[in-house]
Amino acid sequence: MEGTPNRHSWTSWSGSIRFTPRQALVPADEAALQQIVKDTHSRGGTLRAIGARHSCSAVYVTQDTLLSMEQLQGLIAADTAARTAVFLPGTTIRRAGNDLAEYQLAMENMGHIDQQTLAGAISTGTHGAGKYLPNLSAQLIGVRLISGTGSIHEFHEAHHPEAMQALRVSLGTLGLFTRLTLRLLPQYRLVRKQYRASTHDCLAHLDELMETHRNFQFYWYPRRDDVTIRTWDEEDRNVPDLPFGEQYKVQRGYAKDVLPSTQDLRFNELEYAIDQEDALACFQEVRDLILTKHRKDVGWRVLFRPIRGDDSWLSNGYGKSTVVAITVHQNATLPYQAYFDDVERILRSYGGRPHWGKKHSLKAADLRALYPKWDAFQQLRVQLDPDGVFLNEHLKTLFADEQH
Amino acid sequence: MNSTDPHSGHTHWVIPGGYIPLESRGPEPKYTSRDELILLNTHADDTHVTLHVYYSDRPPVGPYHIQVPAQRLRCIRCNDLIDPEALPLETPFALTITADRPISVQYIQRYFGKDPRQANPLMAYPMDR
Repeated sequence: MEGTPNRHSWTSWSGSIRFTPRQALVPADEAALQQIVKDTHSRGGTLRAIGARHSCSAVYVTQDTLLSMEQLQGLIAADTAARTAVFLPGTTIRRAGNDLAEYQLAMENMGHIDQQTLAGAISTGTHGAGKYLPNLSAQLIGVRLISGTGSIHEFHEAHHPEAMQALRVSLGTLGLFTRLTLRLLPQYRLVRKQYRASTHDCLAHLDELMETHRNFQFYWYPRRDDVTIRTWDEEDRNVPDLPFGEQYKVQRGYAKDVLPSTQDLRFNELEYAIDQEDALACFQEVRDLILTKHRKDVGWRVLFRPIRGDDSWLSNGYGKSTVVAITVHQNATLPYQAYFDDVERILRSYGGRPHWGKKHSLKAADLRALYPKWDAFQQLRVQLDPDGVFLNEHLKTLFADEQH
Repeated sequence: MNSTDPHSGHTHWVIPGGYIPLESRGPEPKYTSRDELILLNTHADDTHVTLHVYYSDRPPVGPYHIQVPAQRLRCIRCNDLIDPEALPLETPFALTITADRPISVQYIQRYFGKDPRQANPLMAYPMDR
């Protein structure tokens, strides 16, 4: 039996998303998953797959059928020489890192945490930090999926380059991924360093920080107007310590162990990717807004992360050389809407594109203007899911309100 | 002071007069207006401290967890308390402090607004149980 229908409420990691699907199913294999899709399609229903529920957007909300991928985890195959591996979709990034280590392989980059599933993180354009490192979806070179009518398709960048550009960041609207093939690196070690510093020193060295370090990010603290800086560099490069700030932590290890952090504090977040050349001015505007208007009620930090651009149609780095993700956070127990609305106005004024897995207010008409390949994506989506099996109410406002 | 003296402090404290001004003048974080909590653990073992924050118009928030190493003091800016949530500025609050072994507590309000700089030591009240 692929799963037991059970009706109860599901809550996102931050607690801001809560919903009760008609049924929640836990398919044990691809055949079971395919049958669920066919059944849903034949009765005109909708279904969404859930990963680690770390996203605070409504991307996985459904009142109909919710799929848990918790039984579809693990490494299927790895090729150390070719530096590729095939995973099941519900594999967490942490598990992927541990499984790959046995083959002396590693992911090129990962995000702030490693609790997300591969399918969820890749499909929402989740990223790490590093001027020359694109978001996680860039590692996806092949995919096997079940379309909205229940048919199985396989795509690979060697044979379907355009389809892969659409599939990499597709929010689960082109099909349910059942296998993901990743391009990898040989296992590598990094040195992670953390510093406290003044905002002035950090911003004065910003270009150098982005250029020098494999991975770089800083957090700005609204209640102190100072920053913490994190850098990660290859262990054998012996990159010198920063000439400013106070170093308070050094950690060495394999990338899978030192890139992510433990995150116990719950929060909601809003994030947009801004062109690198505008990022400093945009950050300063957000900082001024918080200091002058929101500091009374906002204590949690603002995150600044450079990311290499890419050619994935719905990636917020599409067509860019480098973007900077600016992320604001608010404690999960505190009101966030007025704060996020104000910050979003600034981020949008710089032509920013939202992170699909975080809070944002954009609708189809706004988004179409931001993504040059928007129409091409929608055409492929309609081909693979003609009856909108994978569209929930949130995704309809993003994609379907502007059908033509 | 005898570091193992069970009388070198109290396990329960109350600070009723918390208030962090919104305004700060001067380079931050040095001149950030703030309330500071100073916790002294004179014992030979680490102490685990929990805080709860009380307000006039909503239920208390907490616990906030703080470790104070053996025979050390820790200075905490209430402005920086974040887990489970940030304290609102310009809002009266009270703190209760519970430690798993006796500690000493001092509370200082440092204000760097348009008025002359002030540093007001504030009484923290030990609560015997």
